Amino acid sequence: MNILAPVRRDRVLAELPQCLKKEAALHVRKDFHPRVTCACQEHRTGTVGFKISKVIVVGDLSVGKTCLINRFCKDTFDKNYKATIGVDFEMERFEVLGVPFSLQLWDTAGQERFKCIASTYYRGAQAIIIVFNLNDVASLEHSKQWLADALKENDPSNVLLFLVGSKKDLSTPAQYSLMEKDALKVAQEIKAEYWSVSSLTGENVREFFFRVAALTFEANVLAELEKSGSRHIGDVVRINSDDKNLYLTASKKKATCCP
Amino acid sequence: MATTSAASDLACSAAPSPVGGASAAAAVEEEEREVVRVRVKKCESFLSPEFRSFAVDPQITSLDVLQHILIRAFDLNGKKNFGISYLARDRLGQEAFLSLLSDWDLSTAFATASKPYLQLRVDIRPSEDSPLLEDWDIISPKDVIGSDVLLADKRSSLTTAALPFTQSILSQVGRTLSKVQQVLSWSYGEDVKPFKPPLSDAEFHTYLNHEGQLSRPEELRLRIYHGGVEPSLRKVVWRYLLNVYPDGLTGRERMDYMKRKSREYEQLKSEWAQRVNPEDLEFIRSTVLKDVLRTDRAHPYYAGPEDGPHLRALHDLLTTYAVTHPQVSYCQGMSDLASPILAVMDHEGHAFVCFCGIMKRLAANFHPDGRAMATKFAHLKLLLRHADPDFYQYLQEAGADDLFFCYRWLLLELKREFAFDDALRMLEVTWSSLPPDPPEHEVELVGPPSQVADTGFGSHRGRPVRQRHMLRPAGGGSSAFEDAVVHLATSSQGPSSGGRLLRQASLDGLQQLRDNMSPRKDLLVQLSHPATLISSKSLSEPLLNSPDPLLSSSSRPDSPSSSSPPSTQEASPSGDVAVGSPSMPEVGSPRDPGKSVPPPPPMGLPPPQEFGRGNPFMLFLCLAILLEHRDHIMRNGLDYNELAMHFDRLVRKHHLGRVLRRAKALFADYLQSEVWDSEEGAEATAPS
Repeated sequence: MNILAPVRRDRVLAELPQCLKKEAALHVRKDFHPRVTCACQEHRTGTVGFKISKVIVVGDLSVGKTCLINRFCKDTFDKNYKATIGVDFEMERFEVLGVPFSLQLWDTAGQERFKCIASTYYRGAQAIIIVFNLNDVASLEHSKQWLADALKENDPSNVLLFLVGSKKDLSTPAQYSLMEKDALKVAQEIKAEYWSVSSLTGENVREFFFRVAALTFEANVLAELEKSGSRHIGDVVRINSDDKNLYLTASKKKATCCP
Repeated sequence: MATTSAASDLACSAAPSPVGGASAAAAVEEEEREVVRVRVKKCESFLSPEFRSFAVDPQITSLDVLQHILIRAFDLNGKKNFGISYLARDRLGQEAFLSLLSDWDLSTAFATASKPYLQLRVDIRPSEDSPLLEDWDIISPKDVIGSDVLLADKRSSLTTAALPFTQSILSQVGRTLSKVQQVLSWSYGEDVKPFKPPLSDAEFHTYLNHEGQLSRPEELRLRIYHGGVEPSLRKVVWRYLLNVYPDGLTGRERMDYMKRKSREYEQLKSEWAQRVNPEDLEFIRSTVLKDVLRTDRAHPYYAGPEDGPHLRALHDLLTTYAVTHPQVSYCQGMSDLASPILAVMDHEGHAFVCFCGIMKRLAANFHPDGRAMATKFAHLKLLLRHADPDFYQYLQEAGADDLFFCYRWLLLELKREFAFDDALRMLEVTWSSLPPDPPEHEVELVGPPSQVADTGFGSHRGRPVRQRHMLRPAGGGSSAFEDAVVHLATSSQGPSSGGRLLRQASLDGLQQLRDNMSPRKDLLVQLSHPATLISSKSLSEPLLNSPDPLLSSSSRPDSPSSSSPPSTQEASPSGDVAVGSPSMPEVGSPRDPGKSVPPPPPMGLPPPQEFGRGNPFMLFLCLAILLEHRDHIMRNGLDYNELAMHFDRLVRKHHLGRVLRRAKALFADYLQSEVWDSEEGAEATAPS
């Protein structure tokens, strides 16, 4: 393993970033899980700091997946980046509650002719980000198919799901409002957390990826704690059933918000 | 600086007579500070000794570099268990070989080098690891220098063998001169230029007769294969490499031909609205535009504003192709193939004709059924397993033997893996390794019309183009490609029953391609094109005739090189077990678990016209890149994901010189072996 680059100062998370919409969130706690906070303070996070969490980004052709990643990783909106052929990668380093943590972002080509190899790269994902274009209803309709393809390679109970509407800058408030209603429905249906972003303006991009990093980190630590009694070096970190409660909690909260 | 050449250095090794006074002594002293000639004797148990001579610059030759030079000179690749000693005189004048174990020893050896040269001895130690080589790193910068020079010389041997006798003499003189120049002007870190310079305008005209007809297309390609094309000449020569001209055109006829085809292109460009409906056209244009705006924008030709003329030309070219070839349409990656062609031609109409020429061969890469890509993946797997079973096994255990991180390499024929100008050289060398395939009459600028629903695409109702792009195969569709890859690989490696399955699969694919992509006649003509064998022979012939000891050494059947495929089917029993067992396919060859049947010997590779779907050299380029990074990958234990990320970081950064030299050496071995297994049975035309 190559020596990892140091964590940038603006990649330090001391508090849990909040969700965008409580109606469609993986959980709505304001802070990290108490067991996670406690474990970090006592330096009992096991090997989480040396793990790389794989996050895959999928969605239709040219919905802006690569722009989204580049906006966050390179903090610039560069129109001249290359079109993705097959798969591209970005590695982003964080420090969460004092523990180093890495996200490995996999950017896959959306075009149908490359989907045959994209499935190979779904393997081992801990988070799946499904990107659709807020100005293209069809791309939202295709989200469920993308998710179905990705889940063929992963245990559904072990991955975090994010549904992200992109190109918000091209949307009028009225259009956006209509689209968001549909998107929230889809997000709730697939148990994903919903976000809307603009790679051009940078709106919500940083917040979104911090949220992904924080929730993935939290899930990793919880999984590590679950199996700390029978840990084996080199084991792939797996999120245990405890994670399912996150959905139940969200569901209950939703019920509370309904009336 | 270091060079290897037995012939020229024997001449140099005759030291000038010391008589001549102070000036002669000063000259000798001057020469000794800049270059030291070395003569090496290799001793290996029962084998007779071998000798090599070369010259090195003491200033930049460390022990690491020397070791690497020796490994290359004696073809000890993979063998690191040898000791080096040098001949020294003690105070009494007694000569004795002293061990060479450190850089300090090497400095002493250089300082006391016996006139007329430093004499070294290499002792091969069987089955014993030498602590001297414990931290040997094949990718260190020092080794790269040695590697470049030695391989360059090996390549120049190929070049010498390829030239007619009279030119060979001139080449010999030129080679001697270039070595002297290298000694005098070498600077650290400078790349060694390829021995054969790019094809010049003057030399190009020697391939044309008095009417301007190209009389020796195979020889032209061979020449370009060895040295590339001068940039200013690419505009002309690439039209031959991309099979734009039918055979036999005179100079004037070629001009008229290009004018006519350009007018045809302009006409097609004006017919977009008549050929597709507005919605489909808008979808094509927007997709093309997105990719055009992000293709090679760092290159000066495409760096201008988004509405600049070159970007507009690229957009119009790709849109016209998509509109006139609805079965292919547009797909991400095509802009990467078109971009270098347009930059070189600098004429939209000419570039379009050339693009049609290359897409005649590559359109299958973009077909939704993935069959062409599946075949290429299967062949690359075969090649890697053939060339380096240990590395292949490592990849298998890492779950990376599907080689899907090579997808972009195969789809775009490595165009995006090198810096733009390097990519131009790589492309022309690759294209020149293909047999000439001129059109019977003209390059077709229009492809077959859209298929109806039974091909699996949407009908003309609604938006067929969009549907084609967005549609996903139902259920197991996305795994069909992987099944095809596994099936092809398994069949290729299995016994005769597997071969039959593969033959059926290949014939099915061929049938589908024939139905979907082109009229039957054209395809059959391509399959039986006699130039294929001629070209393969012309690439292989020089090697068979070469008297060069280095080349003979590297091509001997018992060569220990682990990066060369075996030239015969025979292998020792232990070799069978080691090579065959890990990848023995379970399906297709059921056998009694209690019965101990020796596995069959490894299969040969497909013949050139089939290998890589007719572009075998491209597979050897991929193999060369993989092997360049082999030791780094295995030493660091990169896993599946890390491996893919490693190569993704290297996009546009591969070292062209090293990759080309290694690929050409491996390709030469493959062509020489001529022990091939055809996957197409009765349709095979190659000897086997």
